[in-house]
Amino acid sequence: MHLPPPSPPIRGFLLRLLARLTAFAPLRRLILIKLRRDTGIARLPELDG
Amino acid sequence: MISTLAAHFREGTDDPVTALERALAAAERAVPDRSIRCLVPDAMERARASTQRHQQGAALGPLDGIPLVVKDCIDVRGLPTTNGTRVPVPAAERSATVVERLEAAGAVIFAKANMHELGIQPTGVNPHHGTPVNPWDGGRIPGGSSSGAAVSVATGIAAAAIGTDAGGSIRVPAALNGLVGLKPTFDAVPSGGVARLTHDLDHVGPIAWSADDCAALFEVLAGRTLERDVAVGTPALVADLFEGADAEVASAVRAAARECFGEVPEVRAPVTAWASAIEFVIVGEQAFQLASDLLRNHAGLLGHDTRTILRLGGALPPSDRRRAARARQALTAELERLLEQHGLLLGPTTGTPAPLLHPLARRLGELDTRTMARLAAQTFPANLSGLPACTVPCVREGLPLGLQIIGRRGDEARVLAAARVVEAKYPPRRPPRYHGGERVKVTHFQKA
Repeated sequence: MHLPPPSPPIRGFLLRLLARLTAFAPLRRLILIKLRRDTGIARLPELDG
Repeated sequence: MISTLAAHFREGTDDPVTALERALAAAERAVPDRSIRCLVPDAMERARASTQRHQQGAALGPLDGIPLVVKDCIDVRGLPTTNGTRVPVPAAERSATVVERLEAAGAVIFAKANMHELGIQPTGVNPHHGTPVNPWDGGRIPGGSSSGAAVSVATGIAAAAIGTDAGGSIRVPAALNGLVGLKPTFDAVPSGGVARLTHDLDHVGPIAWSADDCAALFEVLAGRTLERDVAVGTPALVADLFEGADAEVASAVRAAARECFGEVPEVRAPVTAWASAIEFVIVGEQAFQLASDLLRNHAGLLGHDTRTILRLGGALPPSDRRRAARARQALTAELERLLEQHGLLLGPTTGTPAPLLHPLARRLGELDTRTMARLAAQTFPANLSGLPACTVPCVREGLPLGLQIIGRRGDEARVLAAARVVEAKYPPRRPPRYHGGERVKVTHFQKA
């Protein structure tokens, strides 16, 4: 399986902060870069359906 | 177990009212476990009617009088469907189609079960209503999102439960609690009156102690009869589903598969190996669409993790959605091709036994993409393809693990036939934390 690379879990204060930051579009786009990397979405290949 | 209870009802050695009293007593003892969210007020009335039918020799079928719980994303008339949130919602005006079908078959739905908020993660952690206690080890997550459904069955409160599964939410908690869970073929079971996480990944299905119990429930949920004497043939192990799984999980599941089905071949499914990334995109996009009103009007009442996932999911670029949609088609074609050849595909249900529950996660939730994928990467392919899949316990000691069986579209009969082969070698085990047994006076839920 192409699993997400290890990244530290987000909990407590960090999670609260992240939830607040994602309410703002420019910051959301920045955080999305990390999410796409952490979930393997950025590496998803182009495949023929 | 449903089959045992039904036999006792038939023989007159037990009756639905007594069975419900035992279930309510167990629910009362299990209040600190947080697996049950609320009780269904007219359950005793239904149990009395069922008892009368049994006394008159006019039982409606194998589910008549069986005490069941449903996940709290399924409407039950007169009760709010919280969907795991703390957002105030009015009581449902009518029951979900699956509840109507079960009640028409005589089942006694007596409680609604706790769940992960919106069903959006496979851990079962819920800071709003409390996290159901894993009966095998209270320091670990229960699995989700049908967490309360699985825990209430494993701890002896309910004979079986109805859950939903958009990425493993029936199979993951069933596996971590030592139970059998069936995610049927997409659209085999009607979803009217069920709150959905996504448009086309959600499935309604049973969690129970045995494949036979799952079959009895599926027949009523889907409104069709399953053939019982189906040849299992020689299934194949999907090597890619073992990659990334813990070594102990991979070796236990391989050993169980070989013990039950002989020298099974291993096949490759390279596109299936991308299931996590594909699922994250599709759930992200569709959950954001379906929960947009909730996010707009009640963001402050949602968990920090849920809010974050929804907002980020809604921000994924169209190029990701396009790639995920094409990869999903390729994944479905790949699995269908393998199933044409082998009939059934096998793999682990989860890549790990139940992970530890962090105290901060219990209080506020958590965002842990790695754990999400280790729990559900193996279950995602059956949601993405819509193929039927079940989990069945496959270890004899220690924390429970599940063997996953994936079948051809509409072939639930063969999937459950294979599950019967496994459970004959790996019989169900009762967890250390168990509440079934005698009746007690029910007080807690009357106040709730």
